[in-house]
Amino acid sequence: MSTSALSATDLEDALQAVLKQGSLVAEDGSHVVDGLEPRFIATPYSAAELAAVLACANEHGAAIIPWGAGSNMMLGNVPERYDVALSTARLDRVIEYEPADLVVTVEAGLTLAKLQALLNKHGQFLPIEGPLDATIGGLLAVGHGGPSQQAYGRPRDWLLGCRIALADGTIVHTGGRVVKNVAGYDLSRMMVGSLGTLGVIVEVTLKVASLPAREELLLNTHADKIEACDAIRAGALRGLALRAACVLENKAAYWLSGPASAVERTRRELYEAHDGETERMDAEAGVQFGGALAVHDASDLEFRATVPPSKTAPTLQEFEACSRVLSLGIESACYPTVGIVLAWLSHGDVNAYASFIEQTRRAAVDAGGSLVVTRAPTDLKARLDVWGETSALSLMRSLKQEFDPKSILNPGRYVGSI
Amino acid sequence: MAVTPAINDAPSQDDLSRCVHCGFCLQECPTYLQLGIETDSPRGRIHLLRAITDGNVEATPALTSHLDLCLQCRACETACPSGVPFGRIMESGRAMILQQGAAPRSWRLRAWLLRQTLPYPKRLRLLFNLLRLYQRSGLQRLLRASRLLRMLPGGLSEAEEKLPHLPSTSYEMKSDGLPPSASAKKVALLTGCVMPHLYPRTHEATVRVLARQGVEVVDVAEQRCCGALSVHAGDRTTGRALARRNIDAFLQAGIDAVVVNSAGCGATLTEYGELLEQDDAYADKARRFSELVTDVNEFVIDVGGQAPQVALDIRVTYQDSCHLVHGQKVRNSPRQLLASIPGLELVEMETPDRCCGSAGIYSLAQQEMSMNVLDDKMRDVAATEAPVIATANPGCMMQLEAGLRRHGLKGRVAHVIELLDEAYQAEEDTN
Amino acid sequence: MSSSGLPGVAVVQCHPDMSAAKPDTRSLDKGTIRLLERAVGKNAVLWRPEEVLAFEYDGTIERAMPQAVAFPDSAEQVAAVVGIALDAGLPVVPRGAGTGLSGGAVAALGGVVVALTRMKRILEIDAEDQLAVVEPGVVNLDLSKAAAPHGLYFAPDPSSQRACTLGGNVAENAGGPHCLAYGVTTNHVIGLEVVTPAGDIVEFGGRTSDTPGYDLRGLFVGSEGTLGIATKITLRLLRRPEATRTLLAIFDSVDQASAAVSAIIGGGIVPSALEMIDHHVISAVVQAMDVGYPADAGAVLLIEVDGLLDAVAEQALEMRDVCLAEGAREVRQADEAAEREKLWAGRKGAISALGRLAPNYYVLDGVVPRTKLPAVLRDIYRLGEEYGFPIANVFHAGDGNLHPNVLFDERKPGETQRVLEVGAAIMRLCVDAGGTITGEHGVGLEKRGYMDWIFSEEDIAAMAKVKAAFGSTDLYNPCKMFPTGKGCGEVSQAKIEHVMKQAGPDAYI
Repeated sequence: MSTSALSATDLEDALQAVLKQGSLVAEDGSHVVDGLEPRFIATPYSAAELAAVLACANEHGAAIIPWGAGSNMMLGNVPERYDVALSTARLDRVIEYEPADLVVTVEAGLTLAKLQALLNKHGQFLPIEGPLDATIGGLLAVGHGGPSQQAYGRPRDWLLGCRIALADGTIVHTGGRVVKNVAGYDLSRMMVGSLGTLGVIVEVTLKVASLPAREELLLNTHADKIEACDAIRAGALRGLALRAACVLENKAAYWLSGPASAVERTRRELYEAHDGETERMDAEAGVQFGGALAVHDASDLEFRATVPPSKTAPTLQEFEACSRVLSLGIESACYPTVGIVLAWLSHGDVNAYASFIEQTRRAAVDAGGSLVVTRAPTDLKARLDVWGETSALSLMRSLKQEFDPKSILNPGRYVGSI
Repeated sequence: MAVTPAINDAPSQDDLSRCVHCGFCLQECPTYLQLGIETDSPRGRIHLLRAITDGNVEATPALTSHLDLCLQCRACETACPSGVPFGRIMESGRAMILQQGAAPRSWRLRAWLLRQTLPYPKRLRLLFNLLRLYQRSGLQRLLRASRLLRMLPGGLSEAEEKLPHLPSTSYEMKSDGLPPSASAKKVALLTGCVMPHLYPRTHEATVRVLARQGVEVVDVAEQRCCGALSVHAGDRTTGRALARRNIDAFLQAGIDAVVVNSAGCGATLTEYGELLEQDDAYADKARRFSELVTDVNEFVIDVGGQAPQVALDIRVTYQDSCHLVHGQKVRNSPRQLLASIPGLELVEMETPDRCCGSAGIYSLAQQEMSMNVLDDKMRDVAATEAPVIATANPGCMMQLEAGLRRHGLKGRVAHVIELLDEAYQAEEDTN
Repeated sequence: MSSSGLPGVAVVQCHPDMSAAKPDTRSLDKGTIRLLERAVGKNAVLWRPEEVLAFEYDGTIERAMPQAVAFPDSAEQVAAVVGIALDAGLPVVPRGAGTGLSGGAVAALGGVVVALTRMKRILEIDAEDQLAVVEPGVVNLDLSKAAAPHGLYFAPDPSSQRACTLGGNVAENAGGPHCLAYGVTTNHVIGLEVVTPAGDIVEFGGRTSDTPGYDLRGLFVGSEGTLGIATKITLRLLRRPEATRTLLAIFDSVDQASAAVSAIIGGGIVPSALEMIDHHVISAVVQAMDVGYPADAGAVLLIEVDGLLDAVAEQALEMRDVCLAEGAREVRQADEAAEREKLWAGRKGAISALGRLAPNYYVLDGVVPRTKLPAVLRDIYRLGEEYGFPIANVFHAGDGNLHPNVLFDERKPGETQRVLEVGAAIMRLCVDAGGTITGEHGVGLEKRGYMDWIFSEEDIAAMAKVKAAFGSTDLYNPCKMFPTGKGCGEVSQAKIEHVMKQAGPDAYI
């Protein structure tokens, strides 16, 4: 159902010419995006091969959707065109790892699970959270901060450098392999969160962290969500050793992390400050905690609001009030220390969802933040911009124009339909 | 006076080249803080002076206006990790411009006026008697009421405002009658040019405090103005003439120390060695003399500084005098003395070591900047809610008194030594 | 006067014929001056050569005279000044406090300097959400002072933090000792208002960490004034830790100290700061101030840990053990603020105190992987011996961010040239060890020539695309960062080009 008018045979011939045998297959239903199917799925063996696919597509004006593990493909507006799914699945090598430097260089198609396993062997880990089957490249292209960003910053803070295949098929590198570097523009940061619209990340150099000496999870039961939010903010303001804190239903979940003595002290204080029910879990449960939040399959729509931390509770209240008015089912999780609210909607129709998003987005923007719809049915996507309004859009368009003048990379899926 | 060798003043290449223009001085400079302009910063001024020294630019009025705006507070010297002697560079730079004949008329006029008054005690006495007459005859009240003063040109009316109420008599050195012990240290007090007329009480307190430490204070009648104001204004020739006279006067007196209660004078006296470096006849004597010079706060601490026994129960904030803290690097002694007074609560203001805007005759010559700097200072003072501002220099005392009046603040200004004296007096009264 | 004009920190000059600080005679036409005065006010424009002279330098020895300096007081005024200058075909050069160490604020091709020092208002401190909104001329340390009553502070702490502006920190992506644990400027910027080269006033980011769209603020931070002028900056503030401990570990040799650095980093605890000071620097510091460093030490490490009191005590003990195991002869610990400040005073004043050892020093800035520190340091000292210069090292060891200082006397004939040579050779060492040419000072005018050691033509072309997207041209802070540019050829001295070529990849591979 492609909208582009180019000849499929020409494109196929050209792609076959640059790819190894077996790297190009016809669509088999596995790479659908918002109901659109590509003509081909290209799975190159090397960065050079991947770049050649881009050069070829650029020449033919063929629309490309870069594909990691596909775990976040529901993010973005409906693509304008879609000819080739470009998979990084075979770019999964570890290029260099020097544990003593706390720096690792890997190809973009390596999954988070494999990378963490490698790092864990040396007592280290990458503090970027997401589905474990997601690829590093994909996680960076999406760029959302996870629950631990309060302690460990955002994904972009861990990327030291990368190699990028640009739309015209050239491969450029940016940054370096050292932890401090200000030579040249920070194109690595530009790539994080750009959803593959400026180029395809093929290799990354990441800073990694040492595993904390002690980790555990503490669940305090409160009267309601708002009380849980307030309790979490009070704890964070005291400078306790928290890696993350989340409100789920009426529970305040604390992820304690750090040197043993700091964790003990934090646990003690959180116990003392709380007179309700408390539950303690081990670190394994904590790791699950990060990933578990992403899966709410029963819902129709998932969104993420980012607001100044002090506005978390009011924003959540606003969302719930709005869902009651529109008779929608809502489930939520929020991170009061970093101002993130994740919510899942159900039991509504397109009109109700659209009007919910319009109202709650206004509330988030008024609070100084933003709201991004991270998963929604295609017919709803047609009704709204999943990203919302963004400032400096004309500058972003210029950037896109410079890097991808023919708009072959993820056309239409990004902010302002870039 | 001895034959004076002709000395060409100019900043030395060694001094200039110590500046690595790191900019660490910028935020310590009161005028840069006001204006945010590089030309009005220590680093900028050094660069401009360097360009003049190298003969690459002329000292145009536009350029000299930036040098004019310098308070010469030397806060930049304290901030400088490379040890750039900014005060010396600015003083010799101004002297160079005056000597080149390129100086604006205001500079030449200023130097001339200072040259005609400061070295002459009789002229000063006459001047202050006239001012006293003006204040006491009712003329001042009349003029202030009539608003006629506002018609005075060039900020003279503000200058008039700043004049403190003059005491009825000027300071005269008098013996306090206590027979000093044979082993007592013998010191002389630098009386200075305007201090005896403006703040005789400070001198009197100083003599009492020194006596209390068992020190003999001798009168050196031949002394003159230290020359600081002339040196700052670039007239190093007059400064040198005064220096030679003072060196002779004090060295002949056979004393152990020259005690100074005016930070500005003290800084200049300690730098006589440098001022007369190129004068073969005086270079050695000047160095020897400079070693004798000590600030009164330092001196009292050094001789053991007896702590008063009776409580004063006052809240005091201390304003560092620039030429004490930056010029002579004396920061702790005045605070130690204040702390030694029972019941005295010392409340530090924000940046106590930033200039109050007095800077000698700067407060007259650069009214507007002086007032802006003073206003910032008074805000910091007011925040401490201390009714007493202690300081260590007559110029600062005058400026801060004007600041209290200008901001409608209740309180008073006192020299550190005056407060110490008050405590001693209270003790004697109790006994 | 000597050949390089103001002696000092760096020795690279842009206009060899300007070494005598002769003012530029290409003064501005009256019309442009009047336009500028109308835009920002008569008292906010300097144009007389003998006044703009004071704007020809920054913290390096790069020098070039602008034709005018304007002091705007609002984003609109900045936009107006930029427009007037570009319309008149004049280069635009943004400037903060002028403390930069790569020539970023030097008007390489003349033009109009946009000085942001009057825009120094702290617009907001939001203690609840731990952020501050400031104008670009606010001084780094002033923000921390203003935030202190709320128990907050701004983490990046370059040595010049008492003087440098936050606008400049953003432009150069400034670092500092405590960036080891807390990150450099880019990790702390959450929003920007920027006047683009096209004269538009746009907003990047906002008041939250994630905003939809390209990370323009991430691109802008560290763009060295080539992509626009920040007129409002929203910054993250950190909470003051409950406890801080500073350790001074004293070693007989630099080798032992670097081994200890590797052991600490590899061992899993990231201290908030980990600085090394070698024996040359120690000898300068003990002359300049009383900070308690032992004069006979081969090297000292300054280590700081902070956080919850319980953990800090534990970590300090671990650090001490690691240092002793690596051969430290003594480890001192400072718990009280005054003692800690004393230890830090030696570090912060270290580079400027080098003036006590030699009339001139050339401060370099390079980064190597931390495991390569011992080998690279040995090579740096060896190069110093080969060239006959003492090289003093004081640097952010925990990050592998080296600051070798080449001590020399520019009055000796040929010395300056040889300093450049050894500087280039040291840069080459860093690059060959897998490192980079600048960790925090920026590329600026100084290191443009080294850019192609670490970036290919294609890499640099990609950066040029960013520049084009922002509407930046050859007139916008010209001759910075990019190895080439219109009219910039003559700015680099031929001899420097030569030095770079000599030390370049061909000579080494």
